[in-house]
Amino acid sequence: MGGGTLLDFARGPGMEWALAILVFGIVWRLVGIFTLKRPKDLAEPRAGASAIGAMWVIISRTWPHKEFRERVLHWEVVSYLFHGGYAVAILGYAPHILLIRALIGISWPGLPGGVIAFAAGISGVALIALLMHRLNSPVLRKISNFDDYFSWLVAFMPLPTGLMAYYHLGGNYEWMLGFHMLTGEILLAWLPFGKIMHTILFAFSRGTTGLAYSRKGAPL
Amino acid sequence: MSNETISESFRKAGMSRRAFLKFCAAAASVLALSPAEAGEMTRRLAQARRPDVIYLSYQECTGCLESLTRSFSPGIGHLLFNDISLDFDDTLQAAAGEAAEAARMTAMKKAWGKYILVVDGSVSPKDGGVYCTAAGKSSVADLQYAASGAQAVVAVGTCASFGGLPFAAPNPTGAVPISEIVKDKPVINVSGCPPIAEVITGALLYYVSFGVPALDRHGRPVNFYGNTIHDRCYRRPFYDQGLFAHTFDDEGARRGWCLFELGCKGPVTHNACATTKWNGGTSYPIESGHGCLGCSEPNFWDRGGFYRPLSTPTGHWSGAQVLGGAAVAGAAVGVAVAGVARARQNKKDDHKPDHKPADKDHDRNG
Amino acid sequence: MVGMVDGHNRVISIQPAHDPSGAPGGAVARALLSQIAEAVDVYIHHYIPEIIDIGALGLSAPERAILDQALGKGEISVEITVAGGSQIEETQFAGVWRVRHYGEGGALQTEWIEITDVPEIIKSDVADMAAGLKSLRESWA
Repeated sequence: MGGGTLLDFARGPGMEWALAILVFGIVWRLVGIFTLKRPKDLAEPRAGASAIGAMWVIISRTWPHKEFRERVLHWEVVSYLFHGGYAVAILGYAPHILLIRALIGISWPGLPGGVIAFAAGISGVALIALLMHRLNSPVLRKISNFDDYFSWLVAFMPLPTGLMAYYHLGGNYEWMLGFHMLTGEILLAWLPFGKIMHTILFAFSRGTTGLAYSRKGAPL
Repeated sequence: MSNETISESFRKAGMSRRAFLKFCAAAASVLALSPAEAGEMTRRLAQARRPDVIYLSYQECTGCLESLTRSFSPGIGHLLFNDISLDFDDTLQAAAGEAAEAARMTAMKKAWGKYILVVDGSVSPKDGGVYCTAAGKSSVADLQYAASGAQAVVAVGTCASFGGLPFAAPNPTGAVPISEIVKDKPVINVSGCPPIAEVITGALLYYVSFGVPALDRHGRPVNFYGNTIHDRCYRRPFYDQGLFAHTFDDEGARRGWCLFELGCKGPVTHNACATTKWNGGTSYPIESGHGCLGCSEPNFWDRGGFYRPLSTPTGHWSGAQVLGGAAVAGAAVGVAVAGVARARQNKKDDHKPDHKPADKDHDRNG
Repeated sequence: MVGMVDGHNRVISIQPAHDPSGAPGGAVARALLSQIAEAVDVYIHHYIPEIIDIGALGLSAPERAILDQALGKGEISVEITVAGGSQIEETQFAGVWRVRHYGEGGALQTEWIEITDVPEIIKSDVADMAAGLKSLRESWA
């Protein structure tokens, strides 16, 4: 029965397993990281060291320091276009909000469909630009591995499939909708195990760096 | 097949040519035919032999027949197939028992190879067909015999087209759609729970005029099932603007906003409800304030709750249990993995001669 | 009274607050009129009639009002009393007819705009005339 079966799978076992793997993976990695043994820092904390102050690094690193701007600012902007558009498309679209409400009980008003499509389009173009940059920059190309490219693909796929479903392109709408949901589920299932885990870990990484340097007397 | 033409039968029944033209106009409108096709249908219907129709019912609730017979102002299809052409229908006719069965056999034999077989309800082959029998025959055997003498089979309703309610989990009787049993005759699926009356008669009229219509991948006439409800819904502008009713009696509901959030399956349901509407064009579920159930699609009973939006899980699994269990399992694995890592870290530390800071620098830079 | 049954069982009346369908400024009506004009042109040169099914379009009330005003009323109005009744009127534009078929109980079933010299349904059929002649001779012979 074609498209209907794929949609039923995506709304049923597909979603169940993807969310279970997501939660399992995140808890595993966080618990695993936090229960690791850390080398004891036997030095005295320097003057001016402050834990709260160190947390400021989490916020301050959202924008590059003056010294680096000339080199990285334009890619920082493109990256924000990708992340911002992605956030608007996910969190601003009523069907997605309803999914979140079904899972954790909270919801908020959505935006018109045209706004969402625009945001998703910008996000997709920015993501392609970032891939091109990764492929063209000799340094990035050298340090990129399977995780980088696979994570890119998994993050990218929901965008064109979502737009195609929204505009009823690509043949059977039910099948396209089911496929779009499946790409989202693959993203969620992969999230804890690759680079996309930065969505959660970025705060801890920045905070840890801030703490370490603050202790050393060189607050960032 | 009878010798008189359809227009002759109508004239005999007291209907003037103008009435015939009027009814054909209504039928053409429902079928969304072009003016040329509409004219052609009128001509062909006028000259066609009066068809013989045998209507058989199996595992069904009679809702489809109710839909067909309860039209407020009977259209030409209704008149043709109910008053003039219906040679057998065990629900509508007065005769019962062996006399009725004999009448059916006579009608079928008289028009053998030429009658249109209309079927509603699914059939049940499981355990030798014992779960649905009449006059000592199983539904499967009865259908096979009836279909062998038909020129075409019209499966009316979702039960006949896709199995419908009897087919829904756990399907205790092993119900199957008509198309699973009838393989050697054209089968036209007119799905819906029930289908709109004008859609049933429209499909029959189209067949009498032009033969088997263009069918979609579920065997349904594209004339009626080519668009989704969502494509033709008058509330679509609200969907596009992101304006949804949250409950059945809130401000959004009063203002007629989109019912997506209340579980409307319009985007994935193909039917004519939004254009042809129900009860002689009065309204359809969304216009009356309730989301589409998706009743003309296969397995609509088992696709999750009717009030769960399309983008949410079907509700077959408990979020708390599955996600809670996953979190516990993740924590357990995390602790176990960390335990192994810490043991390895301790072993490495134990083998070092001492813990001078210089060694740590060496480790970091080396 | 809509909205209240009694103090204990309040019936909530849910009426759509406004009709969202219909393009702004009568764009659908204008498109229809342009289609009608083309059809009249075709008939004048080739005698090919045209039928535009406006019932199937789902016109909103404002669009319908614009169309009614544009087409107006002509010289001929025909009422057919069969099977619920039908109303056929020529608009102010010759050859442009409004055909409305009503069902039993007066509900509007089909609404067409027909571009032709005379709509088919008005004409008498030869077979009907033959039957009538037979009857006429028998009664008055």
